[in-house]
Amino acid sequence: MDVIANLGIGLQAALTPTMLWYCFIGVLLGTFIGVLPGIGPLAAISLLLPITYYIGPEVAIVMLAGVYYGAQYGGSTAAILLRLPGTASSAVACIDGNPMARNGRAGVALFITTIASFAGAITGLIILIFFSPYIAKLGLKFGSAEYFSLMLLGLVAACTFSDSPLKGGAMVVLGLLLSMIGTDVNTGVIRYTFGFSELSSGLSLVALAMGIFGVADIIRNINTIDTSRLNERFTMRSMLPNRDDWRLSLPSMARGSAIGSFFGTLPGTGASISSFMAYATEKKLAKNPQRFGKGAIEGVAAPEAANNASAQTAFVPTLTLGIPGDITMALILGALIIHGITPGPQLITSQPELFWGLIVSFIIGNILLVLFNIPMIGVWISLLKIPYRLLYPTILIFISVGVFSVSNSIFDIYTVIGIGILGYVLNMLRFDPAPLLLGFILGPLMEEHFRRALLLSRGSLDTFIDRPISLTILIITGLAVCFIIASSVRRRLRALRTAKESHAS
Amino acid sequence: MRLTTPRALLVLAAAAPCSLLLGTQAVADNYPSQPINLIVGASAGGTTDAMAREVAEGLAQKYDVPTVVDNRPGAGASIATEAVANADPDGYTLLVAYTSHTLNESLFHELPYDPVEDFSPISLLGEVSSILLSRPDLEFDSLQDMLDYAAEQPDGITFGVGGLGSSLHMETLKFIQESEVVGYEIPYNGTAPAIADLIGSHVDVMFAPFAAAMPLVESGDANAIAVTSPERMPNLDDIPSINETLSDYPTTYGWFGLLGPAGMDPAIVERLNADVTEIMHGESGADLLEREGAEPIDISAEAFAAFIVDDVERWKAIAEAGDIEKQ
Repeated sequence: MDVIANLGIGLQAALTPTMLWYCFIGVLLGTFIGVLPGIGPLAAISLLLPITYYIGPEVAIVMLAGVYYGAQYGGSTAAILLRLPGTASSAVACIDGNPMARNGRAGVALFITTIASFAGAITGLIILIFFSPYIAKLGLKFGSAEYFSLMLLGLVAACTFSDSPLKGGAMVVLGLLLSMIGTDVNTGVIRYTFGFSELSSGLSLVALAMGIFGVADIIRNINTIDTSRLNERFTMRSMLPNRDDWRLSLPSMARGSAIGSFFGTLPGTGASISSFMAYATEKKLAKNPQRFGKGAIEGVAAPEAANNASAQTAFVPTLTLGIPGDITMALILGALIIHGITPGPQLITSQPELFWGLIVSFIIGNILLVLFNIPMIGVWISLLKIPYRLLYPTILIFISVGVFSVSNSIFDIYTVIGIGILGYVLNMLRFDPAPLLLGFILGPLMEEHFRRALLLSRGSLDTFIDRPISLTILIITGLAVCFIIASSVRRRLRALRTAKESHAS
Repeated sequence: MRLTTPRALLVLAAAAPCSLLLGTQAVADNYPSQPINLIVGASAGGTTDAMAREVAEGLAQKYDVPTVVDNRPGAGASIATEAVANADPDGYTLLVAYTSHTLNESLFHELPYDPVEDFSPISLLGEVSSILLSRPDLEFDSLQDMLDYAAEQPDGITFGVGGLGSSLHMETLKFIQESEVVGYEIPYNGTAPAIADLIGSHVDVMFAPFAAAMPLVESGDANAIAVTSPERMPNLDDIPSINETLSDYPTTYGWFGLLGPAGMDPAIVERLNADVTEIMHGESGADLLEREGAEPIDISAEAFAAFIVDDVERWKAIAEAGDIEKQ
């Protein structure tokens, strides 16, 4: 009953015309920001922040939050159509979404991502509504030892992204190496910057994601322009998923939502890791993992559900503890602080209209997003009809603007070019970029938590197995490694056997 | 038609020396006639950014020119600081600096600027202090209580450090030096993750900024042990200050200030100093400072310049005593 009463308070607060208007503006902006490569919610929210001086704190946060979760919807659009990840978390959508688009199934991919986004967001919201106070405390149980074990599991999962775990592993290591660039968190020692002060806070994640997927793909496509697929006409029917698509993607959405909801509540892990983990899970569970990377619909549905679920549950630590999970969340907190509201454990009781109004606005916002995104699919698809000679220069401009906007640094544009060339070379050698990206995201977190766990345990490695949550995750990691080895040995044996048989006949 | 452009240029060229003859007074009178850029070495949403936006908002209203807040985070604010050091001292590019401005000199070998020589200090916006917190399941009656507890622990206690090379880091160093407690610094990438580990009881104590600490103390998710200000804070008078227990504890402040490139017209500096002081004394400026546990101050540009010189020396002494290796 409490929940219903609270939602009632929320409804009253959220259903005013001003709130609805700002919610609409927020999600609309979010969608566009998400679609535009590189211009992520971070840039958009920092641009909008000054405006929030003139509006009340409730409407300000409703609008900014709308940008935040709206961008998760839009993020995969460019990834699917153009292999351009707008945000790091939508890089996963490139892996199977882009092949789907190349097979003429862009409409289905976009339709499923919209539905998956909605499913994920609603799952995240349900958790937010019913369990906020409990999961906030649960997230705090995760100390550095637990985080390290979780990251280790993530790295092992990343190896499975490639068809060859060895090549995947090599890319993970390269990603880890690139992530070492920058300032060491424990000692402040500056590593591998070669005297460039721009590198002292590390390579830009956005530049890396855009370079290794987007720019590399453009370089590759310049030689192999193929316009044949663009002439087909897109009918409403061709956009709708068929029965098989639904059968495969619905369970994936459920799993993705669960994974995303979990990761969202852990401050500092965020949407990217959850979508990678959801992808790895789907690939592991699939009867036929070979389909992945070639347009498997589960590979689009699960990560999309995951990153939207985590975008919602990420508000749990932010609002209930005042601990922002990522920089964008910190910015949204900043908007509240500007208005003199300090988020913390008392927020729910001291500002019930704000908290519940915000939650109801999330629900409204997500419904608006679905209503808004489905008719837009046709418009987005028509992007593919633009001739490459016009499309590519435009994309490159967008990439440059987007990368620049993250920290107003020209250096990042050079980075994206360099990474793009690296990505092209890796592509020629048939290395997958996704494990590299995950290695890059997890590397610094893993190192930080490993060293911190050891500092806290005064140097004893036992801390990783003495703590029950950490131990459980390590056991799962161990099983995953065994599984990878076993399945690649089995594949090798099968290949040998077929080779022998064909030799005998 | 072709001749018009060169002719216009000739006229301009002839006029240029005249305008130089008019001297600095005219420049100050015309100031500001174009948009003012406030460069901030911190990302949007933080305290420094909030200060910058308060100043930007106030200046825009007073001068009726657009003021732009340009966030250039990274490298301990030195990227933003360098940009201002190399800008024209015309008063249109200003820096909203924080403690790192005077601290960086003790942390880096080769700063691309000199925090004293390359700047025209304009105005000190505010001074903030921090609160020593303990994890929720560790309650102490006094600071002495905490020191006794730490002495009993075979491995000492752990100090969460929110951001290496931050003023909170230096505070921790200084506290460990002065109190001679057996403490281990556990570095975090910013204050938020350090606080998360404190309320999750993974780390024992930490120095936290006032604004972040208060809600947690009120809800019991963390315990306040002492404040770093020389006297008890007005809105927190049941929390003792550290120097009530450690008598000659050198109190330090984190600070926020407005600076321009070296060689600014003193008339413009004076004017900005007066106007910015007024902005921070205004209702929203004072509110902002109060949330950070600070009060508006009123000091001249010269006094602020002296403050910066002293502050550089102060950090140097702390960093040297703490064996901080320069990068």
